Amino acid sequence: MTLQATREATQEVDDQRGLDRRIVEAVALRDHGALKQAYDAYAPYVNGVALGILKDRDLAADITQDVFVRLWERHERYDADRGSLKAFLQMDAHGRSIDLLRSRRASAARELADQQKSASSHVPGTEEMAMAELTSSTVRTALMNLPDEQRTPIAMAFFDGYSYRDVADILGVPEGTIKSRIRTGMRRLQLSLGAEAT
Amino acid sequence: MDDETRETGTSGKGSGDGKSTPDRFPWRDAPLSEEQVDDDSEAVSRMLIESFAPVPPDPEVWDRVAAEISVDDQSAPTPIRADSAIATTPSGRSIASRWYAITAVAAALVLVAGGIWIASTNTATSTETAGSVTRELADPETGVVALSLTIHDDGSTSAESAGLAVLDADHTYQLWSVVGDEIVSVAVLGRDPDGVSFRIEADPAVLALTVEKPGGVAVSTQNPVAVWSATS
Repeated sequence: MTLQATREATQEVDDQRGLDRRIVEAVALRDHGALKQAYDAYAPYVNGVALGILKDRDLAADITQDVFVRLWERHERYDADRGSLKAFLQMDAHGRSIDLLRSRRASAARELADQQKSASSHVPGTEEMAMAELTSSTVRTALMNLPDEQRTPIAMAFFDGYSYRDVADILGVPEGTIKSRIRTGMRRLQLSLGAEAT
Repeated sequence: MDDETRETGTSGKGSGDGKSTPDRFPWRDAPLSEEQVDDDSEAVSRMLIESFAPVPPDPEVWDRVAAEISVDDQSAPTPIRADSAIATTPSGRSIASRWYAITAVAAALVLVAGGIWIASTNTATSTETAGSVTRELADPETGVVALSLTIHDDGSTSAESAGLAVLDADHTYQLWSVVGDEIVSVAVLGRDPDGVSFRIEADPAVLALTVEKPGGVAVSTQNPVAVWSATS
């Protein structure tokens, strides 16, 4: 990237952050139009994350609604100095989607009254379905290039919301090993994704 | 910090809503954490999340959001009210009474804080159906309808633009009403009021739309870009 291109990219980020900041400041002043502006700009990205995790349009819509209502009610959670509003909302959508996934899984487990049976209902490889939702071929390729022993636990935790302990139980591997594999895998991802992630 | 957090060097402060999440996912909420954050994991998890393909939600999702925040407004503090000392003309007559008088002859002249609001011919209209009324705010110069408001019996109101220009990021539309003797800020409608929902607590006699700085103002000194009055 040339110096000029770098400057232009930096300026673009600064401009976007400034706009994000103004939107959230206006939301803080109960500006309905500002929330609509944020929704129009970012709702597809929020919905995309929720749909990618939950695989259910109605549940994704619920999450999208929830994320924007929370922006209205808890606008102070966003700090423009720490990232874009789009990323903030997507992170929120991911967290709430994972919460919902876990909640539904727990309900299903209770109904079955058989925790082990429920845990074993995870079909290894479903994370590939979630990965297929990823737009960035760079990210998808980086994930697919990880060894199975690292990709699978990362995907189970990231896309399916399993705790490390659940991942360990399902894969029949000690929890400490799972932690280590995830940590190593994340570092490899960081290295392979290079400057994009910094 | 639990074992998982220690292991990865990341931390999560919680979703911020007061709920505790057992077996919490160690990367979520990381940008909000005040504790140590593993830069690698945070950057990668952000990239993964941002890589999901955008999918527009169904149109009714915004309606649901708008309905929720409108309910939220009901429990919020009362709308900003114009400073009565400023919102009174030098002659001592209230702006509201002047608006009433002027709209009665299809023109309005309002002085606010030394500024001038001029609203001339007002051809705005209103219609009523069961459960709601429609107020059409028109350009005071041309009489062309610019904004249509549907006010339901419960006060919930939706705006529909009729060719109103979308403002730049440094400006917002703000809606005002005259209730009794007061000019009241009804809602800050943003750059593009089309589709915006809000509440109107009382059926106003006059509505006016101005262009203000982002976030709106307590007292406007701008000429209205669209007006509606009960007497037009």
